[in-house]
Amino acid sequence: MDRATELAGIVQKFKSDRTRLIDILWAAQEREGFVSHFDLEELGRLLKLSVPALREVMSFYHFFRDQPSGRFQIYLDTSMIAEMNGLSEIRDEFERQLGVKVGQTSPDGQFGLFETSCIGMSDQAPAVLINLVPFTQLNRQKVNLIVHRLRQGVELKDLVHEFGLGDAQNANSSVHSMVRNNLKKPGSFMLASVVPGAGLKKSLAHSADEVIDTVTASGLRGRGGAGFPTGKKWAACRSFQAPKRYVVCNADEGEPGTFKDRLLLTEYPALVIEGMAIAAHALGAREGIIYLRAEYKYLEAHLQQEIERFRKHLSFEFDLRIQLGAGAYVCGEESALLESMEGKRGEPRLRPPFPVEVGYLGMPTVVNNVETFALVTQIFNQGVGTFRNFGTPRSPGVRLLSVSGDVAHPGIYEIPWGIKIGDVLSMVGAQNPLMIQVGGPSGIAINANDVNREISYEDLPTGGSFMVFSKDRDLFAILSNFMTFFVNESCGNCTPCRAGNVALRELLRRFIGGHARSEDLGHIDSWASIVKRGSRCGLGGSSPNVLTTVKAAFPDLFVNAIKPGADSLFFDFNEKAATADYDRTIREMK
Amino acid sequence: MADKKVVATVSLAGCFGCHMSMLDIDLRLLDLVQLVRFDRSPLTDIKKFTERAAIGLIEGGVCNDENVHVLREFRLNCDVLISVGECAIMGGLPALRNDIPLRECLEEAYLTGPTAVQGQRIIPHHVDLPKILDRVYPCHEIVKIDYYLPGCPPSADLIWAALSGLLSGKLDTLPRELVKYD
Repeated sequence: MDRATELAGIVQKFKSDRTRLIDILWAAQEREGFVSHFDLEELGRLLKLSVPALREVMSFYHFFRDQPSGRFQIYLDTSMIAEMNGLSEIRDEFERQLGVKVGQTSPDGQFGLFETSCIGMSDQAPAVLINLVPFTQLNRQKVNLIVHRLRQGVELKDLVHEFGLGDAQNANSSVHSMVRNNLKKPGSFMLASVVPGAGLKKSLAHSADEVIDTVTASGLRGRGGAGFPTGKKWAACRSFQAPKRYVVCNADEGEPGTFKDRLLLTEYPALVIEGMAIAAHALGAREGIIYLRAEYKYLEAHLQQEIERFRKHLSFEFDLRIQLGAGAYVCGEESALLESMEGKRGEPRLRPPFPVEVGYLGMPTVVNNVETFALVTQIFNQGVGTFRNFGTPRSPGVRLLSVSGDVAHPGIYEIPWGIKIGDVLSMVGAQNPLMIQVGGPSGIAINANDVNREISYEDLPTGGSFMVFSKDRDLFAILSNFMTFFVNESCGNCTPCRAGNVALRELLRRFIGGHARSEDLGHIDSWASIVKRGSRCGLGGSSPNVLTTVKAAFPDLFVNAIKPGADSLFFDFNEKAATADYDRTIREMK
Repeated sequence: MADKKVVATVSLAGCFGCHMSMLDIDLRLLDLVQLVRFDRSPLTDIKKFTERAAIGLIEGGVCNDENVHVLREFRLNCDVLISVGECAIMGGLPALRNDIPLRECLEEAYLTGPTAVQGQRIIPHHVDLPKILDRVYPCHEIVKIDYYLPGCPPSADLIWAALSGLLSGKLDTLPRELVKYD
């Protein structure tokens, strides 16, 4: 089949629907590992979109490529946890073995080596994705073996087998992955007494309004991080008259250090699907979509299978499909996620109107986190009372915590809200802890001595990430990694976020490089305030937190980095270094 | 008059546009000369500081080693140093070369550009000529700058408001319409 016919087939499969552009681009990329200019011209003609419009969308996402990028595309996870677990060694080994630098493709067209943000494997770092298949807990030897085997022509599937399949469903043929669940503490609510269909059955015995009332009474708050009351969201969505409503599951688990949705989608997908069905019943929605981050593509077939399997529990029409993302942290923000689902750049929308009023394709839409839906199911299955037995008044229930970093037992823990930091630290076997990042880079940094602080909306809210850093760690290196993450992941729409995060990173580098001055302490605060107040979404709204909270928790850190004499009127300026280039150039051109 | 304040000005890697804008204060020039005396400045053609200045106005960024020396000399001799205009504050137009290798800049300027002398293969260089820096720097990366007057050039009104305010000791916030450009 010639390429033009093939592309026409792809476009036809998605009914020439531009809002399915992400799927269309994935399909177009499948054959050669990149979408060529010819492809874009063809797609543009078929979809009545200009090539620049297509490029505009494509260039937004990490995993779309418009140049030949290798038959095997290797993406290194550059998260801080990966950095602590040997990222630089495996990067070096890949570069050595492949003879290319990060960002390049080997001359034989076999391998492309790239970097991406956290891929959700912080409990088994360092990890890479090869054609979106995760390879975890790597070291030099394993990298060597991977490259050697792939050069021999071994299939990725067989290579995964050789490395050893993971536990439980990870070994299932529909997943077939070396990922390990690392469920360290199952807890006694969310993952206990899972009876497929039971929660849905109980909810169907009630009217839609009663279901929403139950969710409201449970006090359940969204588990994505912002903690918006779920019942309130559903009620708002239901209050808007519309021909259609949508239920969307946000499985774009991009916050560095979280991987709890990975567990839910691997082992308990029915809980999530059932929660979506309950929401559909409550909202009168007939369509649901799971927005699955591309980093978890290895779970797609498994999820699809579980969706089919769940249909027998459905007594009403509820169509469910999976929308694959393409690599963009900001798509975890609900309005950016909707933009992405509509085949556009994942740039957050201006609000209001909120998605509950104008959401997917302009219809009222509820977007909830994977864990939120799982909890909804269990609230109906086990009752509001049982749920409220756990947690605090303003933070009822339990949640999953993804623990990584300098701990003896990285993995997933079900905890009641309100648990003390000290209790978490001893539970996970924290090793000589110095700093804890609660809620990922966009969360809050605390001093590990603050053992009496608690994880709750009253004190330390979290989207589930819990990273522990020991006294051997360089806090500046951590901050540097986090700020680079925000610089890379800012969608670029709001200048305060696009430029401000760069400015904050530059300030940080002055402290690291020993060029900081006293007034730079104030500059951090003023830039932080500008970025937070001037950005339309939570990315810019929270990216400076890590700097300001570390500064508050470790006041000496920044002050001690200011060299004596730094406040002189004359700054360090190496004139010799600055004119070396000129001297050399003149010598060469003589 | 003995109580006149001393002012010094210089144009580093600039176009003298900011100095022109300063002259654009028109009749207020007469008020200004009642208040100040110019020391080192292209307006007086004094090349070395003869006395300590209260205010130093810097136009232009820092593109060569001589600029570095002059700027440091200003810092040493002025109580208050002001970056005047886009080039002093951010490098401005000259900083467009920052992403171009120095070699290409020199070739374009002296060998291949339309204004190069035909057949000439010489890049001027001499111990007495300033050495070009690896990139154009804003002034505040070399010395401490106390105030910034934005604009390309800053308007005469802005320069007047800042100078007269500083000299009278009544400088409050500058009016928004004078520093807002978009």
